[in-house]
Amino acid sequence: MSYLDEFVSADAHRISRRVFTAEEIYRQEKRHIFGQNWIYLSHESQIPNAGDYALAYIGETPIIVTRGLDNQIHASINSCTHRGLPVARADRGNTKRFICPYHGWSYDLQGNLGAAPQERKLGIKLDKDNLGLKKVPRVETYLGLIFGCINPLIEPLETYLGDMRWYLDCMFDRSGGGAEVVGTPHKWSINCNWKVPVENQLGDVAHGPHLHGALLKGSSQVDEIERLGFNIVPKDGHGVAVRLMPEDASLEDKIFAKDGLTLFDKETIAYMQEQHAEVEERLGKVRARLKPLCYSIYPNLSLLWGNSTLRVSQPRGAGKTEYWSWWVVGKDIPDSIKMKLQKNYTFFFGPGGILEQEDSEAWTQQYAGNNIDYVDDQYLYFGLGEGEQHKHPELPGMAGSVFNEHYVRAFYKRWKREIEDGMSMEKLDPQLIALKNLA
Amino acid sequence: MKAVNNLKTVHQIQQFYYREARMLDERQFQSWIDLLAPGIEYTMPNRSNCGVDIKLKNKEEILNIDQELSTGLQPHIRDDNLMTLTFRANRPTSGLSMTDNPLTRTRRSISNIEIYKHGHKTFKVYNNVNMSYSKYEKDNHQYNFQRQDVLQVIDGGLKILQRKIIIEWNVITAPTLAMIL
Ligand code: FES
Ligand SMILES: [Fe+2]
Repeated sequence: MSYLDEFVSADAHRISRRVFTAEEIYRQEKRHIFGQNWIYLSHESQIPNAGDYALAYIGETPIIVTRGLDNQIHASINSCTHRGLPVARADRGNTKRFICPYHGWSYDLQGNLGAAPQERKLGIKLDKDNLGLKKVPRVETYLGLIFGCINPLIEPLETYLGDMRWYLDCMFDRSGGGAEVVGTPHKWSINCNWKVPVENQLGDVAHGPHLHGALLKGSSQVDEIERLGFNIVPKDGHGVAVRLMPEDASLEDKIFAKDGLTLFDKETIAYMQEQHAEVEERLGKVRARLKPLCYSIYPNLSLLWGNSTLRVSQPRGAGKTEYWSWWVVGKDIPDSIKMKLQKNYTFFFGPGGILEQEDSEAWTQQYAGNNIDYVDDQYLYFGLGEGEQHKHPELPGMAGSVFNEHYVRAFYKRWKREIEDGMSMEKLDPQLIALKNLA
Repeated sequence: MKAVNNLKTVHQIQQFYYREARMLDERQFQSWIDLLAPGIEYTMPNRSNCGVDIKLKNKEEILNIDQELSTGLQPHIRDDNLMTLTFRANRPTSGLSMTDNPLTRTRRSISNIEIYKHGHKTFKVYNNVNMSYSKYEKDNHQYNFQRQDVLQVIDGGLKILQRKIIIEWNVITAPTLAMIL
């Protein structure tokens, strides 16, 4: 028997409500999930010039992502080595050095300690090699997406993403200019566990016409995704929901932006039709008829393709999440069309989004429902669609219907394995005992 | 900007705001749509956690609010027009909106109304809103924001032509900003 069998059954059909509420579990997640996986930090378009920086998090660890004077991307923990204050404090900026507000120690863009004003006063030299900001040991990018990992031994990012890259290309490699992320993130806090938003965007197509019934019930898009959609697990822990349009579908039905507020916008539709030959050339015939819906990349990055938003579910405790959400768009697209596409983000999603408000509220209520100790012995059911998934001839990964919850079973099996492996390696750790007592 | 001193106009505009507030608190969202000019531009910029530009030191400009707000291609939190506002207004009456069933309770107080002449038959109006929001049994929140409006006189009545909502939050700690504000 393994440590977490009482929380996640072997087939991941039954999951304990405590997985979403217990602080003891959350403490393990910080170490063994957020400390061991590639975590999305920022996009290269957010820090295009030398000296640019942006703030990010790995779990609850604050990170500064910079573009150094060497034009390379660096990531350091945002905490001064003197007394620990954050040294970068604005969302974004451009600077040569970060000066700590408390006693004026300054750090360069790579996190090295440059000077401490007290050195001169005391006539001493500090051991600068050991007093720099702690570095994030691994930083790698894929199509401009910057990830960092606290574990120096993690596999390369491309291997980690695996076949997820094939799907990511649909957004980030759609045209020669790639994609750009514009502006500072929209951020809001939600009283829910961080895994809940991720789960939703791994492939929870089923909730659409119910939770979002006021807008989506009976809509042509729901019909399209239910008829032509698949929930795909490209690699355990990652997931996408996509529509694969038939080969004989009209050009108009295959393009990007045939969704939401741009569904009937003549200028946008004409532009996307014109561009589609390039899309087919870059991505090939299959992906030229692929219309994704939502993605999640293990553990906490999500993307809504048609609504052009990248989001990170930042954990802030077992029952608290800070959701950060950015707008992402094809760089080559003319500004007038970009503005129209942007409304497909802000009208539906983000803190003012007509759909997002329903998701946020449902996730909050899920936390309330999971935090009832009287039903700790009644596990949640994650078994929908078991066994129905199969290899698809055209789509990499395991494919199921849009009602198949295999994406979330794969997520929790991986999650369980990683926490168990991490705990086995820390056998003598007192926190392990706390978790066992809980079980 | 030239302040409006005509007390009758000031009174009419104040009454317009009090009526609008009561209308929204009484959930007459579809009637609220009638208060909008056809070309309504309704925005709420994202407010960043913004550092100062040291090149502006010793000038009041170093503290100006515009530098914190999303502009141009940067996405606002809200960017609505008549069509999208109509979607939002009709949603609660559909009976299918989970965020309006059970009902959401609100109370708005409007203050700091400042009125300036703008263009032909238009006024620029600043006002602050304090809104108490309550949902379920005790999910209680306090909202506070500024509105920078342009009101237009159409057929003798006042209509909202522009509304720009300025919030103080960087991380939004209330449940949603998707309602009519
Ligand atoms: S805490 Fe940073 S300089 Fe003292
Ligand atoms: Fe949703």
